[in-house]
Amino acid sequence: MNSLLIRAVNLNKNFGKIRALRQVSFSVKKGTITAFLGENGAGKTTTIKILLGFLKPDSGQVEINCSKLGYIPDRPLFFSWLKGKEILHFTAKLFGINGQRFASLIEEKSAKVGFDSELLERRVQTYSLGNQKKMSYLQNLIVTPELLIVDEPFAGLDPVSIKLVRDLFLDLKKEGKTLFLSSHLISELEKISDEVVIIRKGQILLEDNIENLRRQGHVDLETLFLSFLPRP
Amino acid sequence: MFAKTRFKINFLLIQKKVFRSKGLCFLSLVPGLVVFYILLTDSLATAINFFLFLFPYTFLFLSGDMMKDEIESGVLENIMFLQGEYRAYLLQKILVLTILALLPSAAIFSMLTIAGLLKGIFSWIYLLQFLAGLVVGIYYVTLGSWLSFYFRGGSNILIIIMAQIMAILSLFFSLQKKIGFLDYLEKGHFPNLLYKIKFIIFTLALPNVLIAKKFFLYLSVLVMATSFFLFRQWQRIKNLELKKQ
Repeated sequence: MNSLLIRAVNLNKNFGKIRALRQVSFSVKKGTITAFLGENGAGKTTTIKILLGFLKPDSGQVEINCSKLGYIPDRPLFFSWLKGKEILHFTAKLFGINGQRFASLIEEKSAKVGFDSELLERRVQTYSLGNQKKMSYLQNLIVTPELLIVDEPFAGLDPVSIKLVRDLFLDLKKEGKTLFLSSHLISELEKISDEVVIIRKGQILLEDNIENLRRQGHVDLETLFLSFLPRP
Repeated sequence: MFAKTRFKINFLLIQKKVFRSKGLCFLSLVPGLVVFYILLTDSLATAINFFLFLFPYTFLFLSGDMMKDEIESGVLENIMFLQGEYRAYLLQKILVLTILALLPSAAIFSMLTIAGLLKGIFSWIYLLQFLAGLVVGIYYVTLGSWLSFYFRGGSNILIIIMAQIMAILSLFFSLQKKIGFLDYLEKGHFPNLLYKIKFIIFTLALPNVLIAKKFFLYLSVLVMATSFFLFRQWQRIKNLELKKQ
């Protein structure tokens, strides 16, 4: 049984002359929450897109050792011609969730992310950014993925929803799920993460266990993260 | 099993898109409406002939919004399309739109056939023309979707229609000669290779002429062109990356 759910080895990716990723290697253990930190443009989204198969690396390898994978993008976009309910219905069908279970899942998971299920009768295009993000959470939660990759998990969410999402992540971890969370909001991730991977200018600068880092005397993730950046 | 479910979901997704788009629905109904009007104002035989000439346009209109818009919009970056499944969606889109255009076309043709049989004016050549129309329709879908990699929704169709207008205008120029391209087209016989090549180019722009003139042999050109466009799209989709604009 492989305890590594993600294994990225020497990933390189260029966009024209821009070197987006340089020899990126890291791994994610089963049942953990990994914080993937980096500044804007550090290469977080590119790495995630390679993990998910949306981009191909120029070189290097990716291993994803699970059958059910979930993904919540930074700014989720949906087919403009579909209502929320239809999107969930299609997702459920695709992943073999039957009608009765589907209805109960919507009710249960909507409450978990603070989503007003009445919105499901409307086209997702008409939702606010926060509700689109919640919709994306809901779409992923009804599938119950083994590994959930989230790009900017708190983007567009109000403080109450941020708290709900944080609790949700902890619940998922208790259920044995694995989470890979990419963000530049370090303080929010620090509260819940077990592992940290820091990327800067397309290179991995640090990959460690948060407890280890604390034992080594690092007070908090933010200070550690800032120590990697050039001083102004 | 999963592939079967995947196709079913893709079919439903695309079908919803077509039915929710008023413009697409209207355009796809145009050939049917024209036939209905002719049926009311003229004869059944004329209506059948018009239908056979026009129904491939349903395929063309449905191919209006195929690739570029969806690839660049970011909607495919969704849990439903992870691990390269968006490629299956895009490839299957060509097949689904072909089926969606075929269904109303086959339904109208069946009705016209029954009416023709009852009135005793049905000829088996109509069936061959319908099959030729299907080849033309499939050619339109593959050409439209291939163009949609480069042009936004609707512009791809506009380009094909512009090419058809140019092809028709070129016929007028041939009237300047004593015996020109139009005469050969009318006779269905082209005297030399140059005229044959001219006709092939004309056919690629306005393939419906093959149905009307019953030049079934030249359908092989369309089959080759369709295979080419399909192959190019398969190559493109196989290597496609989702780079949100």
